[in-house]
Amino acid sequence: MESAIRTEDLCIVYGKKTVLQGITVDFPKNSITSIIGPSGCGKTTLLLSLDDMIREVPDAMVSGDVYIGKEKTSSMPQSELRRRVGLVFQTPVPFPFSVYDNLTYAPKYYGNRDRKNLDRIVREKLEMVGLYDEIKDDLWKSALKFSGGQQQRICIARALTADPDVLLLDEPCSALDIKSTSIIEETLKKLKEKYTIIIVTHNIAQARRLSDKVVFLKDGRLIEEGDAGTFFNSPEHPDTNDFLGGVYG
Amino acid sequence: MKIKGLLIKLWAYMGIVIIFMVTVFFFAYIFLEGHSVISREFIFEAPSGMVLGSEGGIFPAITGSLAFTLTAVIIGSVPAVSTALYVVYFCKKSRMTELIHTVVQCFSGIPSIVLGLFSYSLFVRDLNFGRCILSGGIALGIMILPFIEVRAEKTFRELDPAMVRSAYALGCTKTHTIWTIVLPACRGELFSGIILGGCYAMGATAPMIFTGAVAYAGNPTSLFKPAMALPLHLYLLVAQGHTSLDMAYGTAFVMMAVILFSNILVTIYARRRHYTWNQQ
Repeated sequence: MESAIRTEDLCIVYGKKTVLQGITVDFPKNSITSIIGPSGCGKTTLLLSLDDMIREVPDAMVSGDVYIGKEKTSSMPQSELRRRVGLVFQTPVPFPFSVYDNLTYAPKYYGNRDRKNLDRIVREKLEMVGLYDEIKDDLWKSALKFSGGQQQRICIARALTADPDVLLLDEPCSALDIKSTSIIEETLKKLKEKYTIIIVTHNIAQARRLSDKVVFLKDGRLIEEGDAGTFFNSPEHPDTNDFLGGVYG
Repeated sequence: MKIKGLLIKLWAYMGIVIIFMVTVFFFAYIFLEGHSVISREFIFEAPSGMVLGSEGGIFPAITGSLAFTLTAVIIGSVPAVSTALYVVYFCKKSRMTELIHTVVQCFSGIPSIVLGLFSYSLFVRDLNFGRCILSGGIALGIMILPFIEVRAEKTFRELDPAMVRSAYALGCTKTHTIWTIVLPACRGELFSGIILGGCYAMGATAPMIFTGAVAYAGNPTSLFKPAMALPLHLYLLVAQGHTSLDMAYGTAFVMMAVILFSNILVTIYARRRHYTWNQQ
């Protein structure tokens, strides 16, 4: 399967602490890849390194390479990289504007000022996350006034307004209830037809439900990776077995 | 264990009561001592009398103080807010952040009289500005810079970092994010910190003695002319002894009222701004 994004010998150090060591991994196009592993294993660090957000962390030092297709991200302008690789955070953080302004924030930044065009983008992206019919009459209402699940879908829609190829999600359902989680999971399954999705999750059951591929990290090292069926049904590494069996987490 | 808990509770309540009582007593005392001289003339006329200030009012001192404060606020807040922005959003090395914090702390520890002496030597004498509002405003601006920087930095740090990173994640530059997200979100608290810094400057005497405040002047008309200032006027009235003590209390009361009024106004504004931003 063609890879959308790939890391090669990626190492990340925070001050004197090595967080990721020699990670080489492919993230296939139009699929959902889950990054799983025990707390502190470097899942979020790996995710943040894919759109260079890791450089916002004080004292973070990065070596190794990340490729989008065949292009090295280090040779791309940061703004272009982040336009192509969207990121959604753990807790829903809509900007304290209306839903409409949240969804036109990025297009306006990239010079799109045409009202009809902006209206189209807002509608299209809200439809993609299955939210348009729910909130079409409240587009000018503060995005902060919606439920947690709706806010998270607004954030996903907002990330899509920059027209990314890859969508990164850092435990997007950890602050949500079961119903909202299931809606977001359904949304992600639909979105993978158009986007490559990489999700960090603590929830093994969620990874099992969603993933086409799984990447398992422990202590900053890549322990095992593979397609979800094989990974969950017959893991090769004893550490993976222990993790899936709940020996540690 | 229960007694220990009760004692801690009692200690905390006593602290509140003592602070409240001291504040009320302080204001009441100044008001009772000075209210007899407070009148329309006292507020809106210039000082007069054989011993200057024993008659007339304090209007040039009020306008002069406002001029010094405004100059100080403009001069002090711009570098203070930009330093805070640098520390929170641009500085990637924690050692550099520590260095900046140490410098700001050292800055805030400089005695105000030494700041006055420094400003006198540099601005009044060497740069030949003379004793004027600008020289005094710079001295006060330097004095309130660390005060505003610390508050601005705290305000920026309290803003949800995920919100800022969400804007970065869309590919927006830091500058764009700061203009469209950070500054609008922090406007209330920043404004509040700056005005509180202004209040602090308004009450300071030492940096102005050598640099711009004088015993008598008209209402301020130029940055390059000296002006009266409430704290210096108060100091001179007290120094004159018993003859002007009522006027001194009256001046102190007006000064306290201006500062208190500004504080209340700023608190209301910051709260409303915070509420509006979160409810948009």
